[in-house]
Amino acid sequence: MDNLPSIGDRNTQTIVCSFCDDIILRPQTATLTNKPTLLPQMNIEKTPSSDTENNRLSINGNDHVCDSLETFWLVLDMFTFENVGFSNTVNNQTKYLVCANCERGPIGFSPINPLTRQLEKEFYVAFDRIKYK
Amino acid sequence: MAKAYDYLFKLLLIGDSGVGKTCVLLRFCDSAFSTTFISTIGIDFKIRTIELDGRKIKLQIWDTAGQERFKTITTAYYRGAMGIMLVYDITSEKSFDNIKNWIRNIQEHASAEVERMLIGNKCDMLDKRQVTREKGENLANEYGIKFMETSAKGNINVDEAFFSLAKDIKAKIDKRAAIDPLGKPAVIKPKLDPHKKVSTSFWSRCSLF
Ligand SMILES: Nc1nc2c(ncn2[C@@H]2O[C@H](COP(=O)(O)OP(=O)(O)OP(=O)(O)O)[C@@H](O)[C@H]2O)c(=O)[nH]1
Ligand SMILES: [Mg+2]
Ligand SMILES: [Zn+2]
Repeated sequence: MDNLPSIGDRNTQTIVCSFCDDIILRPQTATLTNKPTLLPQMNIEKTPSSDTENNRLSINGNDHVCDSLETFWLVLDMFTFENVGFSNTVNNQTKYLVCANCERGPIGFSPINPLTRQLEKEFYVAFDRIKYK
Repeated sequence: MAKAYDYLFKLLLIGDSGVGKTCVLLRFCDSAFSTTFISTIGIDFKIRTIELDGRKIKLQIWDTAGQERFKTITTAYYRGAMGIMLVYDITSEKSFDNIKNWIRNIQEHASAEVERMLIGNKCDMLDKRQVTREKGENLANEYGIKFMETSAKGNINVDEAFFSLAKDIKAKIDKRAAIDPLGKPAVIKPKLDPHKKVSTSFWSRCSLF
């Protein structure tokens, strides 16, 4: 992009899935935030087939390779999302966000309050895992 | 900023284990992407936005976890649900017979106003069919609800089913709003059963939101 947004800016464009273009967030609905987080890598390898060579790359959720990401689009109400999927809760602390259409992800996360087990009202979409339209 | 939507409907998928509820919610059935991180942890719910009559409708669609049966699904699970997809498998007579138990469960635990729809899934497997289309239609008529045969695998009628259910919920709400000009909010509260008052208020404090 020509002019990169800075922390505190709202998104000027529509945020879409980088694989299938499904709309995730409409313009002006999210705020760019600095939130250093380890986010499991997306595995875009689709169909495994019965071929065991392919399955070797399959990694258990707990020790999946992560990327260290800093910049996220922050949304405070889950219904601000145009389309999004929420994973089951992982380690009693996080739900991951996925594309609602192609289900690739995680494209972001939302923390769970470990005491109440409810979602905190903070939804983070990774700057590096989406594109604009 | 203007409100991003006009309606918010919480929808649930209910039915016997194996009828294909998860596949109806997820675009790719089981093996399609089973090496990904996401497929190992599973998806809890989805938010989708659709448009009907120029209005924006947010659908929050919940799957039922694995082996849950109607006996274990109680008021807490149905809380706030405005639409329920009752799913059976057209290749399983048993799953069809159980629909009446699911219906009874809904009557006991869900809001009296909840909109229901009957879904005969796996309609791609015609050679294994055990439940005729007509049987499905008759049962739906008996309960006065809509019916559709779908195939999650073949992507037949899945979107249409969600649209149809959303449309019926919207129609119900619009009708009520026309009668009651003060306009109730587009959220259906769980049925207040005086005998269960304590548990109802307990769960209302344990909301996800
Ligand atoms: N042929 C065919 N198979 C389907 C269809 N939908 C689901 N299946 C298969 O049926 C099996 C069960 O599907 P699930 O979606 O896991 O069933 P479920 O209702 O979520 O079951 P529980 O989670 O145990 O309650 C899987 O092997 C699917 O591949 C369909 O439309 N057609
Ligand atoms: Mg399931
Ligand atoms: Zn996508």
